[in-house]
Amino acid sequence: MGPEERELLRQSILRVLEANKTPFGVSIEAMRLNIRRFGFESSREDVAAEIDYLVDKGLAATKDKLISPEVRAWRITAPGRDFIAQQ
Amino acid sequence: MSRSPQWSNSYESQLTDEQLRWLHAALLARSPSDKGILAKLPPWRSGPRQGQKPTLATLSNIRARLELEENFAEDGRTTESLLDQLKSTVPNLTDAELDEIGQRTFSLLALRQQDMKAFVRLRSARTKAEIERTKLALLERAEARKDQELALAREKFERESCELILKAARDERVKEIEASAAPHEEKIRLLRAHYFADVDALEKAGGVPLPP
Repeated sequence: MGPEERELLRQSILRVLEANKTPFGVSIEAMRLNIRRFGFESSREDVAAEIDYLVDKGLAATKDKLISPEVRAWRITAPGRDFIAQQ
Repeated sequence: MSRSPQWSNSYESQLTDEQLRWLHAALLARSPSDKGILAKLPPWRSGPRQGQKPTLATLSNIRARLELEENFAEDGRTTESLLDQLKSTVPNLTDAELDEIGQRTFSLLALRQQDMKAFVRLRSARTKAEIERTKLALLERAEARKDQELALAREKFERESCELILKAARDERVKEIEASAAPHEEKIRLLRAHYFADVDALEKAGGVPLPP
């Protein structure tokens, strides 16, 4: 995946997270399906890697309080909203 | 239905409430076409794109976000409703457990909304597995029942045999046949004639009358 494609994938991930106003997080499978709305399709591994990057950058956050480690879900942060608004 | 965006520097934030409502309604209704919508929209008022019209990609992203917001909101409401029911049914669930159940439900609903086929495939696979498990359990139960019936039949046979032996031990005619000097084959024939006299009588009468 090239740098431009990677950037578009990150934007799509943030757009999906931004659309979720519920108290629940977006799982990786739901993320993979929903980024298609923004014209993007990617493997689970690529999506997971870019989510980790966005978390490291503080643009997304892992949903806490979950007991099982396999149940992972993410939410957008305030810096994430600001970032996506400028795109 | 129309929602204001939460940031201050987006294209939507530069529209009036009336323009924003119209834009959202037109995007969700897909009428007029995106080019028609674009023609009616004002250019950016400020920022690095000041004076430029929004792009088709911008419209497409806004529409995708609106549809996604609706789907997520609906899934959220369904999940909250299920959690409320669960809380009243199983009051001793902890907040962490409820949170996890809620998250799992929400994730599953999100899959259903977006990819019905994938959801159906997932459900079908689970249903098939459940059917197979049920079939196996029924077979096992049938086998167990068969074993039980065999055990009962064997027990019945042994009990009836013992009863016959006891009866024979007390039967004077049997004692007489057994004590006689007749050869073994002849003793068997005599015993058979003694025990199955009623069957022989029925055969002579021309058949066995069946109950109605």
